[in-house]
Amino acid sequence: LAPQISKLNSWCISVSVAVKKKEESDSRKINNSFLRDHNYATEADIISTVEFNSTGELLATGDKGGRVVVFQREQESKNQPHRRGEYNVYSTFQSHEPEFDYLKSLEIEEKINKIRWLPQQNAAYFLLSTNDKTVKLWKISERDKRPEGYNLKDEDGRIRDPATITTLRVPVVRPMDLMVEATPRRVFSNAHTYHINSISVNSDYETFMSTDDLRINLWNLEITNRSFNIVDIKPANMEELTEVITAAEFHPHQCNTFVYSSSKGSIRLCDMRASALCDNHSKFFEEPEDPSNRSFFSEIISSISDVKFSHSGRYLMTRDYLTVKVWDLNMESQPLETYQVHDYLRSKLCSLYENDCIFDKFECVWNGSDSVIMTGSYNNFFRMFDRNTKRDVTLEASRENSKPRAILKPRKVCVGGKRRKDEISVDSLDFSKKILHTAWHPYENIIAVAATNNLYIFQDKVN
Amino acid sequence: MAWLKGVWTANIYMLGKGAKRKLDEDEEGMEGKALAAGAGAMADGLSKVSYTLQRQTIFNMSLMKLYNHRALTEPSLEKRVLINNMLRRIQDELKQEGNLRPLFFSPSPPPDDPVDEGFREAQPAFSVSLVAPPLSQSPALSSPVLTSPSSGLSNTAPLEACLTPASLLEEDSVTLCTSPSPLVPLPPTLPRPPSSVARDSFSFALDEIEELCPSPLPANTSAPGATSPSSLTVSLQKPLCPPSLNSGALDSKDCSKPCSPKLEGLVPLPEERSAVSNAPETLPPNSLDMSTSPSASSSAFLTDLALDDILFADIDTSMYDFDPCTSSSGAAPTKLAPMVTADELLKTLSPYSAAAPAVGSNQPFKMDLTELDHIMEVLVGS
Repeated sequence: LAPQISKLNSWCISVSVAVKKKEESDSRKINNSFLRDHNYATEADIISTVEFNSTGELLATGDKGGRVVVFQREQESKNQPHRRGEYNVYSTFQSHEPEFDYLKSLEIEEKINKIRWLPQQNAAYFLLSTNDKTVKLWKISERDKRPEGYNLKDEDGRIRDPATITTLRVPVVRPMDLMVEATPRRVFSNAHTYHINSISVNSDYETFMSTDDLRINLWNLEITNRSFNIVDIKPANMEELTEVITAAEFHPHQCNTFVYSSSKGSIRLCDMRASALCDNHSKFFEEPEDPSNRSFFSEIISSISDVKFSHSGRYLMTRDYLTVKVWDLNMESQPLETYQVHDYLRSKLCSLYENDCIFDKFECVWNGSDSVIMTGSYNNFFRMFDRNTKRDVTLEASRENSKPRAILKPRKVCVGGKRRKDEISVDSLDFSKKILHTAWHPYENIIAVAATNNLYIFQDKVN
Repeated sequence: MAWLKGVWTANIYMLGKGAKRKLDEDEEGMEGKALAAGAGAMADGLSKVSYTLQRQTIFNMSLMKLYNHRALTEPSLEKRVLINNMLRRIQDELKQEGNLRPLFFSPSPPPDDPVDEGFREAQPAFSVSLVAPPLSQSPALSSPVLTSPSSGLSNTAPLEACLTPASLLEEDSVTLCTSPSPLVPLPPTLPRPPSSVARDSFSFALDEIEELCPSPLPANTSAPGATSPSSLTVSLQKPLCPPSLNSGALDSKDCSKPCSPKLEGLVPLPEERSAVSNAPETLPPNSLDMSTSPSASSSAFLTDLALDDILFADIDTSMYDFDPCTSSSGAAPTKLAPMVTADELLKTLSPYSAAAPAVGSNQPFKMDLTELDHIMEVLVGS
């Protein structure tokens, strides 16, 4: 069982790293000191997804330039107990390249939309990474030994002239510098007309699903030339299209169950045993609209940007523009809990519509014990909600405020006229600094927060 | 889109300035009930005004978002669907309120707009006001407001095609031209806001038509067969618009050729319709559902609007073929009178002409032919 969080306000920064573009692929360590001063963010370095693996040993990030950077947690050593399991770069590779769709005369972005780890079955690590159109299965493996002493070729690999060979020797395996290599093992392509927004590995560890705006496809991890369509909401006449799929996920334990969310704020739970095409849902979760909050933007802000099952499989969490909601799978009529992330934006929706911020897709995550949920906001703020104590905290991921080992100070946005000393007013919020992607270690209180092109890793100081 | 931001701040300022005026106008116009309800309804009127203002703002914003997007990659389908839903909802609301502004539109997006599997945004059947074209298009605005889709201004074709016909701009002076429509581009950089350009040229043209065509052609009368224009006026709900403007509307439609230099924009009206069927060819070949959707969308929206039938159905294109005004003789007015009172006008318009339909209907025909010969000579001669 994961340890409980005793205090929400005891988070401190453990390491802050920048994902730089020209990183060598086999460097294992980067300096743990702070980032060099970058005043600009290269577009390609913007982190687009963050994901811990199932043990929490590895943390993968994907960026807009199609690269994947994997961090590995240092083994705790008795010599340096204060360096309690920090994360270092383990592997970097180019997962996707930009492509060109000749039929539509459009570029296909190489941006990594999602990364999902497969459970570890041998020494190698496997992850799925996807851009808008193609899912790839990557194998990340270590090589720390190599054979030496070949007869027919010398150490550089050049073929030896047989005439010069006078003796025979047996090649031996010798240790070498650790090398981490990533190789693509499967490429799952040509199955999506629209942009892939989610992938989810099934609990059977044999299949996974990929979801675009209108369809969900089921794949076998071994078979790349065939996928099965399990959900299709494309209307016969595209003029009638009013709703799209925004996210989907498999149930963590029941391999026949999955959910998908829509742009109209509804979630459908489907059972693959019912029929081959799961267009008919088994459960339909939707909260009736609050008439007092109606506005022009009601539909847009109700669009669900992320859906996550709890680790227990009992609850569902959804994120729409202003709130996070926790649903009980047994109650479809309304959510169990609703948390306001940044309700002060409700009066600014028109401006946010104008600058397109209203379309930002925030993600949400559970902690290991499903007692705390976390999601991002603007101005590099992110929020945590304790479901048991009903307390919440706003923290900021920024270099200026974070020295190593310093405890994060809770932040507050002031809505009314009187602004206290440390508060920030709504109008001073920087909407270009948005935290869309966060991840929580499966067991411990370690979180990864992606702020544009910076990755912050925070640990709970309570020990 | 820095210019958009610039425009926006200016607009907010202007909105602030204009709201008060609009309130006065509105009290007399559409919001007549506020007046009727008495002073207590003033507050209602204010919130209604701000509501309609905001709705209009959002509507135009949504249009800009859909049509100004120039991305190398495919725009997000979810975003387009949400914006589209927003537009539809506002359209439905406006329809319910009866604030229907009829206008024709291009059912297809700009030719170089890559669409995804044929999903076309809900082409607005109407727009409440002018949509600001990019600044670079400003010189083009001195020419008529309406252009056919085959014009070179490809990326503003749908915008301009959504513009209200000038005749109705006149009637909409209450809500359109007086309200500092949020789409009037930055004043310093443009010679004149396009709406006023249009107004100037069209109001001038309409005045001319007034002179040319005799005044007893009131449009909003209850002639028996007067289905078209009476429904036109009813649906517009402009009780206080001077009747001459309405007649001006029809006059401009029918006398467009006489005043062709100024009303070129209206001439392509029937051609616009035929251009619809050509739309598929102008779109990129990759949109698979292309062949079905333009006509589908156009037919879907055309059936929505009864006004389209009025505008398009009974137009006799022969009316546009001759040009009595080009006769250099100043004897136009008296000669023109029977010309203008052609079949449709007789049928649909005034009781004045209904008084002697039998006589009147024959006369113009005879005179038509002789006049036609005369006109042809003049045309050939010139």
